Amino acid sequence: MSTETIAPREYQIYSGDDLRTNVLEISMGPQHPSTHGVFRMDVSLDGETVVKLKPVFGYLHRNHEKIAETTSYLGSMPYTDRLDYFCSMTNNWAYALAVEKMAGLAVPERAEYIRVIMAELTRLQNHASLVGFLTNDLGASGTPLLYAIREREHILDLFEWASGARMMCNYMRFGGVRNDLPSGWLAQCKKVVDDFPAFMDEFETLLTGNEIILSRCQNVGVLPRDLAINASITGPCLRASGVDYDLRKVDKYGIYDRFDFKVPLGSVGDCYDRFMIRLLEMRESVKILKQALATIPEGPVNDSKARNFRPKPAEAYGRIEGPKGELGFYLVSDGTPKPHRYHVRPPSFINLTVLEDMCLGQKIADAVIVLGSIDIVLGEVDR
Amino acid sequence: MIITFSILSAIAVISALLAVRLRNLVHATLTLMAFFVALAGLFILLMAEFLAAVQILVYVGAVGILILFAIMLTQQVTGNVKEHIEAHGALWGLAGATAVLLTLLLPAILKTALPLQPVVETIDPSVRALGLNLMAPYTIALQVIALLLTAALLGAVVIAISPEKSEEEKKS
Amino acid sequence: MTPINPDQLIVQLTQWALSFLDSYPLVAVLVAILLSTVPLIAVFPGCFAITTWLERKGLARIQNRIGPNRTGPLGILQPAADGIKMLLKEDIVPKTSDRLAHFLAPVVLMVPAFTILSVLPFNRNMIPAAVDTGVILFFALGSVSTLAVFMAGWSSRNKYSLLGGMRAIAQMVSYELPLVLSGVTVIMMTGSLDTTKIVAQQQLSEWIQSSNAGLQCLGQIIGWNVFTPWGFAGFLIFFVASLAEINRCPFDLPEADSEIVAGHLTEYSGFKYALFFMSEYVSAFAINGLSTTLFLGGWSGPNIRPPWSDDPNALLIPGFVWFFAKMFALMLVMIWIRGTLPRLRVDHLMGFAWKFLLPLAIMNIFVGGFYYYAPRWHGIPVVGWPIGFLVMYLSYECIGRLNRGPKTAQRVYHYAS
Repeated sequence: MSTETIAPREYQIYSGDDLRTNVLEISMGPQHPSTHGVFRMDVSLDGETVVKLKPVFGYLHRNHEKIAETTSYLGSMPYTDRLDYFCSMTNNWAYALAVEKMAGLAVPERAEYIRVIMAELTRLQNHASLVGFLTNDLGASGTPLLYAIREREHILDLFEWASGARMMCNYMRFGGVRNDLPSGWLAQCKKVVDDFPAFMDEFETLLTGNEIILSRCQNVGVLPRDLAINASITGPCLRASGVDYDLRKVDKYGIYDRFDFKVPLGSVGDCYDRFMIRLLEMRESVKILKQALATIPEGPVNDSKARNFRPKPAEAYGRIEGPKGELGFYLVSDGTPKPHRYHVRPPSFINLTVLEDMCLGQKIADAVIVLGSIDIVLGEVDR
Repeated sequence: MIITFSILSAIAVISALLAVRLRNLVHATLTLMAFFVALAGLFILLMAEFLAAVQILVYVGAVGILILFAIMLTQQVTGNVKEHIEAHGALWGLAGATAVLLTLLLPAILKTALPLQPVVETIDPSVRALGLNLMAPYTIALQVIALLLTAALLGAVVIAISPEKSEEEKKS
Repeated sequence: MTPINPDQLIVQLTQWALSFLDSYPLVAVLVAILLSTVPLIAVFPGCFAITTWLERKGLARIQNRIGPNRTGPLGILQPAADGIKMLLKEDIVPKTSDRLAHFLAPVVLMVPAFTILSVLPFNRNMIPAAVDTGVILFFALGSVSTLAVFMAGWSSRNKYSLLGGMRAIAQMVSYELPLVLSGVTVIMMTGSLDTTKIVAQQQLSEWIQSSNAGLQCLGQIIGWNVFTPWGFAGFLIFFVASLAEINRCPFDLPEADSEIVAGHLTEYSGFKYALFFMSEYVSAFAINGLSTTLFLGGWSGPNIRPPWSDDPNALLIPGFVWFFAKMFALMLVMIWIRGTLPRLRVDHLMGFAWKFLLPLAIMNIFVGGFYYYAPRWHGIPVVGWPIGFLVMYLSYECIGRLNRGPKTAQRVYHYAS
């Protein structure tokens, strides 16, 4: 990563004529109410203004990549659930996509539709909860969060019905999905999707015009467009900075080219834009879901031959637009049943690298909401 | 009455002494505030509730907090505990202080006709009287003080504002 | 034997009990002191317990939850369970803390919180300490709580605590100004610092004395200060400033859990934490009681006379019922606000106090003065009311607009082509 174009991390402490204040160093975390897991920020404060911030992580390191290299390809599938434990469906899909690309497997039509439906449902519940958590960081004592959790329950019920698990779904397989949808699932899903816009309306009326949210989020934690590109930020954070980059449009992986949806873009790149982009993306996801549910065909959902296999020596990088950004799996095969190299490109981790740049010169209270607006899951950051 | 007076006076004297002697600045301030509160108690004994309320409002609520703010800005809150204050000429100091105190109190003591008359019936301690006094005979003094304080306030605001402005200028 | 008056029953009982001690004046004084202080110390912790339950239940309903439901019917015994838990918890004091200050802080917070209750008139003839400087005594003792919060924050030797303590001082000192200034209007209109006189001024005595039952009933309502333009504005300013003064949402920065863990409370546990918690609620009651007294007519409610009595001062429903009803209503509004609003940031908080509430409160004093001297028609403020309202509304709009600035606005989002 070239460092020349990144905005310099400089912040002048006002020192008056000969008046100096001591810098207060606080280690926020790993046990802190709003670090979204076991994450630590070593913050230096001048008064309440952040002058230095060092993210410290690795508390949740589980050796994910090395374990995957000693396991068969299929054996790693349940492990991917544990990366971003909010979005196991999209994790599964990204991994399956990488393996399919390497082994040249085809996915049946119905399975592609199911994958899109699952991924967009995941996006809905992830974004809804994120907005809830963000308002929680703003100090709203959990009310919007619990509204979001209520909707998330409906979606998790659907996941449980289809895959048997609410969060660790382990549902995708190479060349399809594990099992077909149970009867009645699509009707229930349609109902959930049809009810969702009502929740969105309620949520937006309650939140977007709130004077306190406006004044606390706008022009706070600005991520400039250039910095966002240079730091390879992806996902809603990148689009909030005004960069039109959505892998569903760029790669057109799966069957995303068949659906009509738009990519909302922010202009300032502050917390408010990141917050609003997620709300707008939820509306687009609902649109995709409605189209997918209307046109899903009958047919097989997986390729029964693709269970344990030895791909030819090759390498592949499969990536999808996860709810948090570009989630990629890089695999190198040496012809054995286990991958020779297995690497994850975790969006949470890479989006976190610009935390200091966004927080410098802001108040300590802003650092918390900037962290909240990036949307990280420590399972994915630490792997 | 006399019991309450003794207790309050003891608290006042002890906390005042502690405020001077304690090496930890925050402790010293806290004991100083205990002294203020005890003094307010004495005022209440004298049937001057308004004065007591003002004593707490101004000294504990404002001055004390101001001192604490000032202490927060200092580098070292706790002084070196082991190091003792040099006590050369402590006696001279004590004598001087007593002399000053006596000089100040002597005229009042001489003027007072002993034994004391009960004061409560002769003065009107009501807030109304105080207000009327402030508004009629002492209006000019009050206005001058108000003007002075306003000027001080504005000065403080000007001092506080200037760094931020220069910072904004740097940015633009 | 005076006829039974439900309103004054408690007062009469007290006098009856004291009449036995006429021959022992010293004992009588002590008993009188106990009789006026013990109920305070008994009733308000009870109110605190009820309020914690109400708050849990109310917040839960706002947030689509059920709330406590395991302890007794509707979870009503939850405060008891909490209390037992708090008492049995280990009292952890950080090793490097300033032990004495750490120990004294909850006490210093607790004592003024209960003391200020004594200047509130709960009913006619029912005021624990009838001093003619009640309001200023309230504010004076209330300002001591700042000190306690600072002691807690500083003595814990925890950086979060220190930040919380500093925030608390800055916030409480700033919000004391609009709080006191909005109260000053009422004091100015009444011409007294005595809380009983402030309540009496809000009752239209001619109406109450009249023979018409409807007028009698309304006489204790129409006169409330909140129904005048300055009283309404003053009430709102007072309420908002009191939210900040007792560190309630959206001004709960000193204990902002998402930023500085629990602020000055971070290093407190067990019984000391419970004391802090209780003092906070008792101060909330006190300040709501004061706003009830200043703006909502204190203990005066619909004036219904008992059918058996001719005494114009006799009331069927005791005044303290109305007092506590109003106090709890304000408490419920606070719970509602807590369930609804996010938290302000430090600089916004200070700006809000100094740039918005303070000018508005000063404006309110002028409007109050104008209202007082404006000509009246048959005692009805035909000039003062509309003009006062207009001036207050306009100054609200102007100051609000000046503060808003161009920085925050609803944005329009575009989509990629």
